[in-house]
Amino acid sequence: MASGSGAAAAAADAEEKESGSRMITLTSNEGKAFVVTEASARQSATIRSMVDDGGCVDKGFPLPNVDSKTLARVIQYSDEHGNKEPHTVDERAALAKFDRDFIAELDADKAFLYDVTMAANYLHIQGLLALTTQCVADTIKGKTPEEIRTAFGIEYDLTAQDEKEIKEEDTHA
Amino acid sequence: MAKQRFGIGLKWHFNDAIPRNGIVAKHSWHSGRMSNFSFNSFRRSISRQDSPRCPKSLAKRRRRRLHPAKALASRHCQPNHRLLAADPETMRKAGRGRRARGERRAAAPSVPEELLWEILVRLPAKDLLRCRAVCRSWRRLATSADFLLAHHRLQPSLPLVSFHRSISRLSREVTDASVETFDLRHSPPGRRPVLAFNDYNQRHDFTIHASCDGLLLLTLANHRFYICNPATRQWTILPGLTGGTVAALYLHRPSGEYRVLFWKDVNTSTIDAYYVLTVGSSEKPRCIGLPVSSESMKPFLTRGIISANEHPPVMLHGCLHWGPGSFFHRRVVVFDPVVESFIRLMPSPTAFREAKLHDMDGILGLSRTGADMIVTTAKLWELQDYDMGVWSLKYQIKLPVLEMTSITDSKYYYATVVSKNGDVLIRCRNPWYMFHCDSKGKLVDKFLWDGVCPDVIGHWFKESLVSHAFFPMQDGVCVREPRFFRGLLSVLFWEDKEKVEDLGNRLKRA
Repeated sequence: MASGSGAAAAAADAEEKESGSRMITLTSNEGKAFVVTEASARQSATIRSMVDDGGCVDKGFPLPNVDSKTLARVIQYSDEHGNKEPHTVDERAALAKFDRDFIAELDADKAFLYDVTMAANYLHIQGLLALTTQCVADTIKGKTPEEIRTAFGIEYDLTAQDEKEIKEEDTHA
Repeated sequence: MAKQRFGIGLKWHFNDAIPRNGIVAKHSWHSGRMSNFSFNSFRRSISRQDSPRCPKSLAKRRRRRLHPAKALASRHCQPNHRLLAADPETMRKAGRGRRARGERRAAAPSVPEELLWEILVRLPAKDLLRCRAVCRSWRRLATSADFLLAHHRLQPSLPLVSFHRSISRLSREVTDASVETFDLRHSPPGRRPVLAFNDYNQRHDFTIHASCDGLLLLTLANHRFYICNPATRQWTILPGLTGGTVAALYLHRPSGEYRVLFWKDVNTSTIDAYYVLTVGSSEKPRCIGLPVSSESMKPFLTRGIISANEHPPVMLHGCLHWGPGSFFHRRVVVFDPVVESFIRLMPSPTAFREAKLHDMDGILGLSRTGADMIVTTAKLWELQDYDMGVWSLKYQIKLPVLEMTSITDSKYYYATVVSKNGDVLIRCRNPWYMFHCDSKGKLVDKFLWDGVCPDVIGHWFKESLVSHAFFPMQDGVCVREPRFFRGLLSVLFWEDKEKVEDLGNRLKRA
């Protein structure tokens, strides 16, 4: 029984390895094709579910919401996280450092950060989404409501009732 | 005078965070980390979406392609109506004017809603409260119950450190005191006050008994028990607890009620009288006696009273756990709040009475920092096998004694393990230093406080804005703030200036 399940696990493992070495083509909205390993593509829950549903692996996946520059950057992240599996403390530290450098670069260009966040959201890449949304959240920290409105281009539309509630919240908050 | 404020007393690493104004210094976290990014670039990114690069037809096509849940995402293609008004009053008036003309337009949220969730859920409570005053769609999201629960779950659990000036018991001098979360993930550590007194003296002391889901249970010098949420600054008195020794504040999952397990001295000869009080209930506390799953546990449990103040409990696998106090003879005590019974005594790797339990991402941890005053090592175990009660030593941390003694001549060190990664905070007195060393015993940081005693109080705090029915609605009626909130500033900026000035006046009076 034990050896049987072991053999099954090994077979599943081999299959996994085989599928991991498959290549997948992702196409940006500008028609540019990017070839990535399946392991890298599987970082995206959107693509993962399409692959698992037996979708068009050979034809590749068009991504109409993502431009080439953004896609290249997203692939840089998913390659790092998908193709390597950190086992040791040092490997984990290296991956953490990669994340820090990755986000620091994005942080310098907010417009691009926004594009990458949107792409991470569209492609459901949890790790990348957590990284980029945290970075956006950090820019909100310490700002007044008015500064936030300015930053995000939001119109003031609170009603008198809202204002009353906010004042009350503030008196005991 | 300003020198006496504890924020400004912190000389070493917070230098750059000390503003000129001593009053703001106390809330140096308040000014936050100023990002040097220009918001204009962000705005450009937003306007890029509705500029030539994103023509209407393309926007439409994108919308069709979107995942159903992402349909909202297309909203960001709407144009921005940014008001240029400088102050909130003008903005308010402008908003009114439009409404009066019946031109009510929905604000154009430049961030799709599900993405907004992902962003706002990562903000500290204080910033989230400010986001409620941004616009209606942000407000709707930031006040919804499921969002607030998700927000609470993502907040870090941080050690609480209290600060007050060292004044003698005899002194009538009034000073400030605060309890702050100490976030060692940042350098310098992020400090956020949860309680702040402006009328503290040793005879008007306070004690924090328990911390649970962003709620604190404390007593003031009048022996009254208060439960409060420092993030929303809501509070209420729990009269039923007066005279009790609190064992735990916990969430009773089946009912969703918060309850307090406490011991009360009814008949001095017995120890077996524990009570359960439901927070917000008008009923009297229920006496549950000393319920045990096996009679063999009784001799251990009658040796002493479980006090959450000494042994802050850890809630794990639906049960409360207390550290191995000297009474319980190397045992971790386990209580099941659903069946309301002590169900287990788990072996502990140490009998040290100051040993502290930790919640290490769902695994029970236990730390001890030394048997005598001259602490040289700290140990952190984790419970490898919960059912069998098998512990394994995760870190043995050799404290940087030599380095510390080269900085201060203090003989006594008080060490506390403050993270699952084996970070240790070590305090010494005269002058008050606090050292931070990592699990390898490397001295990471050192802080010098000028006349202010820091104390790692042993409780952890995880911010929450979840609303609770047991806090009375204060419907615009001005209830005087309790002592423990009076030193805190307003959350929203527009009233801050006034309050800071007011605080300044109070300071001068003191």
